[in-house]
Amino acid sequence: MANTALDSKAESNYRLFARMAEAMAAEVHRAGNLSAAREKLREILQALAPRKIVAAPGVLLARLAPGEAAQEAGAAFYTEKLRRYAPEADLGVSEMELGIAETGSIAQNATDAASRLVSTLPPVHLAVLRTDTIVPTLRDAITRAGEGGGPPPYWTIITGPSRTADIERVLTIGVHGPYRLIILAIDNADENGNPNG
Amino acid sequence: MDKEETREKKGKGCSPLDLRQAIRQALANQNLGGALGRFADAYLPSREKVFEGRDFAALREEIRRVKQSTIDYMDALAERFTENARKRGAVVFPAPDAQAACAYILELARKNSVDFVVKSKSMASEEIHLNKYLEKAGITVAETDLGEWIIQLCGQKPSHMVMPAIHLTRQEVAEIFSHEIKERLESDIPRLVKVAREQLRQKFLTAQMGISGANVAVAETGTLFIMTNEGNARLVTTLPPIHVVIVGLEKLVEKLSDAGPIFEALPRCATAQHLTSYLSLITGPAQVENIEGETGAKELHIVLLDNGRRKMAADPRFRDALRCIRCASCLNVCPVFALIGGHVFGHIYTGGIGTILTAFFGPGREAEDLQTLCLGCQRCREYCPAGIDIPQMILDLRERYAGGRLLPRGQKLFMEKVMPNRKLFHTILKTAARVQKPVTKGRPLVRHLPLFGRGLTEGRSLPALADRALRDRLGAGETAAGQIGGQTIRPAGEPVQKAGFFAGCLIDFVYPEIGEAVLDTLVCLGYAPVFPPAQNCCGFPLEHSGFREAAVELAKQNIAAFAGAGVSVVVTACPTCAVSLKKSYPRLLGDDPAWAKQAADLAAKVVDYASFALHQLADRQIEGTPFGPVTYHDSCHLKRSLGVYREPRELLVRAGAQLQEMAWSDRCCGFGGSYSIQFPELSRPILEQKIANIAASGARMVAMDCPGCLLQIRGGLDYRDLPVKAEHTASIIGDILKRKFS
Repeated sequence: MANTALDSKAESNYRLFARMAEAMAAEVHRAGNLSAAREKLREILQALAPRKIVAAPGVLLARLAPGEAAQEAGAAFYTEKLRRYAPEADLGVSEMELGIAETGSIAQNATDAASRLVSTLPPVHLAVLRTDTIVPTLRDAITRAGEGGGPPPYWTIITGPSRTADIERVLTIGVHGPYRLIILAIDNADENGNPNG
Repeated sequence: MDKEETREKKGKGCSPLDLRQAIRQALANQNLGGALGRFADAYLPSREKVFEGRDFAALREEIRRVKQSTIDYMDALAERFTENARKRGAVVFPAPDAQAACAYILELARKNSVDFVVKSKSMASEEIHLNKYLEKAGITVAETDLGEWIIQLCGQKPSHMVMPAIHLTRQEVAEIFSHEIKERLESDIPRLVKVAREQLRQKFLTAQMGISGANVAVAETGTLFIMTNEGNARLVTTLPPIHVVIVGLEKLVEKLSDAGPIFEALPRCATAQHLTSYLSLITGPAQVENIEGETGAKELHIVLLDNGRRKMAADPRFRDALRCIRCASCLNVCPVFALIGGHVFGHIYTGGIGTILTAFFGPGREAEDLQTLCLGCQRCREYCPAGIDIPQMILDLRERYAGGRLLPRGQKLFMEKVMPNRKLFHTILKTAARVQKPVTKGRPLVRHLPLFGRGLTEGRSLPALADRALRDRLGAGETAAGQIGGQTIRPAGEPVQKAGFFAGCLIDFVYPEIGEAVLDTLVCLGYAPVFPPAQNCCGFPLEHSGFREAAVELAKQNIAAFAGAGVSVVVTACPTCAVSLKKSYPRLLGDDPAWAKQAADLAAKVVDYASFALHQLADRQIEGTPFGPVTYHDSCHLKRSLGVYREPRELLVRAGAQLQEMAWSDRCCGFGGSYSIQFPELSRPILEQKIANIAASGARMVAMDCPGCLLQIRGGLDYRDLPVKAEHTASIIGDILKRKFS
């Protein structure tokens, strides 16, 4: 579902990003525009069949109308009192500020408690981001974190699901954080589908 | 209280006997040896993969530069960090020592009626023994890193800085967890991890305070970087309303961008990952939410820990150790660590760097024993992403402790008093050569030494001292060029230059035939060899045992011996001697105006045999009869200290060898000079690995450029009756050249 609206630099950033993220055991989906993304979201929710979903508010996420998709999937959907609901939710949904190509990472300003609660406590974390926010390197991301008068109180970089190798050095996915990290990259996230709009 | 109990109470490292006992126990623990050995084999290939396409040397230089300003401007950075973190709403407490740090945290807990704390992995908190301190005051502390939690449950200490529970098997972990949750658990790793998740999840949700460490603290922004894989640090810093960070002064960097190179190197070196699962930047208090959904600002307290760091920064010989980013590369490539792990080779901080850090942040007595465990193979220096010269610092520690308590008095006396007295030293060696006869029965290799420690000949045969030392075979003075058949490769009419030969003790007294091969080579290459008889031991073993003064005395003797010889070059067939003459002398005598220039002059002339021979041969052919598959063992000092590994291989190939590389050709053979005498129990298994790799190569001959390695490897092959010949490159090449030109 490649989108010609992305320039070649952004396209190659995405390719590396997806390859590295998958190598780190994340699942990566791509949607060309919002309606395709909504469809993808529905598919993901159907497959996961969660009973409870918690979501951290965000501009991009709002456009995907995750509440409606949750309702269709028959799941309870919470965007408030997340400290109460996140520990028992099956899925946490949040939006990311940028991706990092060389490491397959996603990053966000996580100052609001909500953004951390939904991405740490449930067993599955679904993260959405705009494809064109992917920067080439970790150093680029660190620079971005500091823009505008220094880093925000909490800034997080996530690379794949939670993991450990503390017992006999055997890699085991899913310790304290999510077992699964699903990334949905959206090429054109504008409401009217117009790349300039 | 009986004796055993006293020892138990004090812990290991209280007496040399305890260290020996700990080594024995670790070697007997097959789980430990298996886990560490498998890891040592897997680590480097994985690491290489994640560094693909990256310039490690350039990255190391960048980190070195960043951390050097940490050391140079520690106080200024601490001040700036404090100011900026406070501006962002954090409370910063500068803790001069462990006691102050612990007291501050306890006071904070009491003020907030905290009785339950969750912690994510922090070496600094281990260093100050925070858990014990808080628990004594009635506060429950739960470690949440899986490895740390396991060892907390069974009351142990971390055995590795990055993988604290690497010494435990899944069965043992199942046992520990079963006891904790009072339910019989199978030893299935995913199931055990799930149990940890469930158990610890409740703790995260109910703790009133979270304590973490930090990997980097940025002065210009007041930012703390925290990295984990499990996600425990994110929970520790998200759920409880109070977050305490303990961070050592050495973690300070000036700018946000300074963190870039550190996080490019740290996960790649530590666990061969491009990046860990989570990397968080915390700058002032973030938002916290309670169960009612009410939000507010967290309380963020930063304990900026000195506890010996300023003292280290002020010490010119050890300050560079503050560049350490705690990646544990030095542990992962250490042949001794791979055998015994961090419970023996370490205190809180483990391995080579751990020994140095322990000397400043921990009890000094521990470091005094730990420094003896370093084999001096230099491998750690090659892989340190901060460019820390760990082996040199261990030498400096050794000097500080004058050899340490583990060195027998007799050996100390011999090194300090006898060896610098050349005549006495050589008389003793010659006498020993005579009196050994009843034991050796004329054989060149001795499998059993009566009366001496059996450890010496367990797993390897020892060579007998030569009947006549090289110096006695040569007589005094010069050997004329062209003595062998009168023919050399030098065109007729060109003036003959003099080449000095520095033999070193092993070649002089044990392997004089190697010395003769070197002299033959020099003659064939058109040089007039000079063997100044006043040359003595190079001094390396003394410097390596902590006897700097005696080493300086030997350096002066050797410089004087070659001073009037009129040589343009000094060739040696012992890489250790080469390192000593080339690198140690200028360092040992650099501040002595009477000797500094002479030391530098000699150093500039010194060259190892293989480099010299290859360079002199230039494009001339020397091939003899092809002599079949040969494998090559890289000596630590030749490859890592002198950077020579291509030259001997090329020489051998040009001489007709079919090179057949063994696995891990540059892993130490376990000789380490007096190390194999001091710790035969550690030297032996390292030699066994080397012998196994040689045998597996399928070659019928193993070549090397170090007489020490030759002693060790030839002895190991003989002991096992393996049909593989061990030879010094000089013996092979010298023989071919002599036949060609005579």
